Amino acid sequence: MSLEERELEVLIGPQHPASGHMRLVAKIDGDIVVELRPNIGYVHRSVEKLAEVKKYLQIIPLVERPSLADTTANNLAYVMAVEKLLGIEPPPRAQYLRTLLAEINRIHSHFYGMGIHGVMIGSSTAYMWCFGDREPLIELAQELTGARLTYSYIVPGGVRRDLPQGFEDKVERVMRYLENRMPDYFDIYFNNPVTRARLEGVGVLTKEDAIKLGVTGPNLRASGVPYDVRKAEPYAAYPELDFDVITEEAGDAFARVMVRVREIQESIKIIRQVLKNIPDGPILDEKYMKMIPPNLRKQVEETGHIKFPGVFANLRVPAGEAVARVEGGRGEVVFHIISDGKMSPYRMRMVTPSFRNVILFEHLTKGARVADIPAIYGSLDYFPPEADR
Amino acid sequence: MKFEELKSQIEERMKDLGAEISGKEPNVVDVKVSREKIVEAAKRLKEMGFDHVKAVTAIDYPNERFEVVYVSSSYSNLELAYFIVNLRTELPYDDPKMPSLLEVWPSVLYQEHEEHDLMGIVFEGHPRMGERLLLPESYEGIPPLRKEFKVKTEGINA
Repeated sequence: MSLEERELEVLIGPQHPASGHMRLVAKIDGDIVVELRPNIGYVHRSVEKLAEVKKYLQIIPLVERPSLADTTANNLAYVMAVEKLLGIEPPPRAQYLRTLLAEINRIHSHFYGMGIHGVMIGSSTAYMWCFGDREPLIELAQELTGARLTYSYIVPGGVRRDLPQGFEDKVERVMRYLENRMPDYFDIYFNNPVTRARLEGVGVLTKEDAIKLGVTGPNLRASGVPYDVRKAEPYAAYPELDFDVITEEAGDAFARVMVRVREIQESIKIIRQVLKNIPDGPILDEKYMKMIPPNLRKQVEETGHIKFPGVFANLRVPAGEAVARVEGGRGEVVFHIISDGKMSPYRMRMVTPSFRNVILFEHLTKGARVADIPAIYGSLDYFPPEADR
Repeated sequence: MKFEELKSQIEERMKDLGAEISGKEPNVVDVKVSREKIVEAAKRLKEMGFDHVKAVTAIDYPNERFEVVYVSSSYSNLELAYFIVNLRTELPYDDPKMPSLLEVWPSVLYQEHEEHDLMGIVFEGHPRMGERLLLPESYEGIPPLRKEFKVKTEGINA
């Protein structure tokens, strides 16, 4: 029998047990993958086109929606691009608050990714635990922003709300809980021989390939490339904070998970520093603060909740071009905005980490076993709506 | 490395390609070349250490021109990682074709494919031209990211 006749085409998805919808078209020989092509676009919501008919402020919720578990990164990167065009810098306190939310979000985004990965390789315990332990972080974010996932917290010139009363203590309680909890994960999941057998040496991405394919986030760092936007082009409060860029050398599925686990520990470190060092002061750029009517401004100062000045609804952004990047939980988010000075962008390019990483499906599965497809898929923390946008 | 230093290094390297170099402090350099020279320009940027592309943006200026921008930077050289080089070229409106940069930067595989799918730019040499990426396979009509494609609104203002 010729090789050609032995090949079988298997369609995985678009309905499948992972998170979000995409289809994998695999050509297999026995249980070895000869070629695999991701078929994406099932959850495309044309964010780039819609941005051209929406006003600048309306685009914030729009760019957040695709990345359900990692919305702060999109919110922040978009607003940073707009701020570059407006030529404004948010006040220091707002920079710290942005960092605080970004790190809370990074931790629960990593739990989300690890949980989905867990259930994909058959560990429902990892799934339940990750989704359970994600909850305290989501509650913190909710108290800070008023929403569980889609925060829309970061606005041009600052943030929407100041720290709630007693927030520091609650954060510290959650951080201590996480620190005590993480060893359990090693005992029952990461050091479990079944987990190790499913992940170690599976889906190996070399350093050269990681660079060449332009992949991003923990998937890049697990192959030994110490690139992190927070260090490469520091933004928000990161220049003033002490933290390490986590890398692993193995480049396999296990290394990718380990990068996420160790990044959670770094995020805890960052969050503590933020709350210790956060400067006093306004949370919105002075220029916009002045535009809030006097009686409302008094209310804003008392409650720490920003009431949008009317100018925000029709925010005009000067003509020009800006690129902004942010290190989200899943990787680098890039916004490239071309403005012609009107109330909507002339063109907005939004590149999410999942879209950058989708190339790995075809690269890492070549020659892998069919049973390893979920182990590889999950290790990428790939989220179809985020890739499709 | 300083911004001016990098800018003049790029200028030096791109001189014979007729490239227009401009920049935005503190870290963005724009390199504009003709489509005939873009592959060579990309090769030279890659030799300098700009090893991957973060975004490919195609912009539609109706009945005038298309502009394609490759937002590139470096992973292997962390000093360069701070900088972003936008390699850009303009295409005539009635002939939106240019050579694919896939040979130089494999990271553009999906990005060029998307701009082909949604903006109708043809990247010659890209193996997936004519295939759909995000749109359904049965889609026919104006590429949706073009300005002549109007978004239909629903609701009270429709």
